[in-house]
Amino acid sequence: MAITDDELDGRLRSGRVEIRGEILPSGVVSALISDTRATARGRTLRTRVTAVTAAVAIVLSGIVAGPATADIVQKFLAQTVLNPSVDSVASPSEEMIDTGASDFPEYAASIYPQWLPIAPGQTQQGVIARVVAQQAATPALTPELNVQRSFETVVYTAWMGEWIAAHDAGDQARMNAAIAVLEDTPTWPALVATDGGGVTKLMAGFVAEMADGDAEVAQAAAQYDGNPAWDGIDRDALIAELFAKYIPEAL
Amino acid sequence: MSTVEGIDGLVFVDQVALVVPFQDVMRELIPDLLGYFLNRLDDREDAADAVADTLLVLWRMERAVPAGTEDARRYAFGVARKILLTARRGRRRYTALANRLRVLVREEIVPGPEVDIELRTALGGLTDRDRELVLLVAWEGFSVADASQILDIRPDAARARYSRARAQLRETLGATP
Repeated sequence: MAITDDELDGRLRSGRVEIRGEILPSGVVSALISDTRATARGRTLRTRVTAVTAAVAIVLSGIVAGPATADIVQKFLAQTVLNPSVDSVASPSEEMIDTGASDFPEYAASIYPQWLPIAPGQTQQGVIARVVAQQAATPALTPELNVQRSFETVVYTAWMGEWIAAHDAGDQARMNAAIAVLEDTPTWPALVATDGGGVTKLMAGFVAEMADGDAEVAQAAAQYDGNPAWDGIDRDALIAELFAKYIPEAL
Repeated sequence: MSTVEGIDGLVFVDQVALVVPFQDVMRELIPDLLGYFLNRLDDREDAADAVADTLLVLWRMERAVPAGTEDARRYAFGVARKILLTARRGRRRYTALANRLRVLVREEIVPGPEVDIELRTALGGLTDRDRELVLLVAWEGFSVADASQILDIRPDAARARYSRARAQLRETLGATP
């Protein structure tokens, strides 16, 4: 015979660890809050530094033009051909783009890759505006390839967000649609051409695990990419695990 | 904040809505969160880490945390549930942030409950979500509607699942000699 509701409530209550406020010393609680605040601030700083470092790295993969140089070459912008230094990775004849030029938005629109499969909620104009805004945040002379890479990255990021949203909504059809596109992203030309350290291999690894429904990996990727779909939970350990699994040579 | 007209254009404050500082909200949440994780994770030190991780996420997401105490608590347990899923998959790491709390729970200042094997077995017979629904109500004191928000279940579906789960628990425990 079934037990009563009251009996069930009683057994549930007695099977629980109860933490009354007075059990925790106030000093421990205060220290934990203080440590959390300090750690969160440290993390924010580290994230910013990482973002800046990434931006600098992208610029460095072409040619860095300092402020003095920028003043000199301004008249050649937004498109020009420079002779890069001998140790630069840029092709000697590569066209350089001034992302700070007044006509950069029009230029960016003119080279938008029409083949890009934009994600639900994205528009071509929106993607262009996003890339222009990103580039405007750190104006520099950069190869056209890096602008192309920005287009691909903005769309890749949106598809990752789409998969996460679809997973949260339990919408398998949307998840499948996102995976179909994401599986192709490691072959996108600018991402491949600018990949100096296994980035596309890591992307392929993320997507392979997401195709098996692993939302933790999707969130780890979102954290790594600075994707707004990241839920804020630190998955550094999982990111390190994925690095070791897919690009051990990078460690 | 509401105001009333004063003399010569001056405005007097009539009523001030109390905004609880975020750190006070967190202070209130810590015992609840520790209890939540201790009741669901076998390793006490993992529970301490999970509390620290949850607080860290809440602090990072401060602007997204609702202002009201109850809303903030519901939001915090939504985060805690995600942390719990991560912890159960063994994909968490030791965090220095939880050092003090870890020592506290390791030294068993926090008492353990009497283990009711039959109850644990009966709870184990429920689906993860149904079990969590029952426990969020019974252990954390949420209403079924609030628990449904934490678990991302529609309220009407949550009510039906809650009733079914409790009925199953009553039957299972009643059948146990």
